[in-house]
Amino acid sequence: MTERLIAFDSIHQALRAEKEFLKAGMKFELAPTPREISASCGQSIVLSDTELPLAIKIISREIIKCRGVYAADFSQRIFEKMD
Amino acid sequence: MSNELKSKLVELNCQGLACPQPVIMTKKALEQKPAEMTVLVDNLAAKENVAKFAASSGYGVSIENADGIYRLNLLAKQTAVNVAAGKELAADSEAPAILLGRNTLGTGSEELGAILMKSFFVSLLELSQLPRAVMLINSGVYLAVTDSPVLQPLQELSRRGVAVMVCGTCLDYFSLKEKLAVGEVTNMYSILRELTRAGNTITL
Repeated sequence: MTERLIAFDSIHQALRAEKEFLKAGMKFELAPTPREISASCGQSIVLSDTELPLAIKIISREIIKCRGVYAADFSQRIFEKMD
Repeated sequence: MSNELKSKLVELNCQGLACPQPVIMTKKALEQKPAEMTVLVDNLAAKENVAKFAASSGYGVSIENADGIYRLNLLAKQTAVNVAAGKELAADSEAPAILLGRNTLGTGSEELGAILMKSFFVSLLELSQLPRAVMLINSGVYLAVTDSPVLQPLQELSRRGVAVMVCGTCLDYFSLKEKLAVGEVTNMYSILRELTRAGNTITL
């Protein structure tokens, strides 16, 4: 199943996003950024496609810096950056 | 097995080539077992087919699209967790791994805990069998920075071949990235891999 993954380079940005997403009552999981995406050790938020529009809205409203949004297939380990 | 993987970076330019050529070229390149490889393609079918082929060949894939060029970064699944540690640890099942989740030892008094931690590291150097890895997470990362009270013994352990693995997320959290003085920045994948490979784990 393909999920959506928002990758952050900074833990502080990931924590800000987590706080805002919780406030909005969203369903998501925190996960370490897959090594395929980044050699450094960032943090990511994994959520469903249906939650993504609200997540993007919150990220831009709160000016939270993220590395990118990816379509993530964890079973195959294929992560494709979305536009 | 992962020792056979080559760490040299390989870039394969398949722009202008139609399927199945990019897949054939990728297959040929993967026969050399690179730990990492980048494939550039310029059409959707090639992107999908190379990604699927790589995934079925034991590689994880990240894909980025810039001006119609797809950059596929392939990373061997079996080494993905080791790259952050900078080296492949020997599969020595007897040596323990030590996971330190704090910068002091024990609970009760922080002052005493700091003294005990120093004693711990000095004593560790005296062991006949050194641990294979010392992993530092949460405030444990304070032990690996420039003004750490145990910097010297940690550097000595590192010099003697002990992998000092420092949680990058934790360094970031405490704004200590610039002060790292010993060890390799690592992530949870590497830490977990090490925990499951070690003969036993000592958690402090």
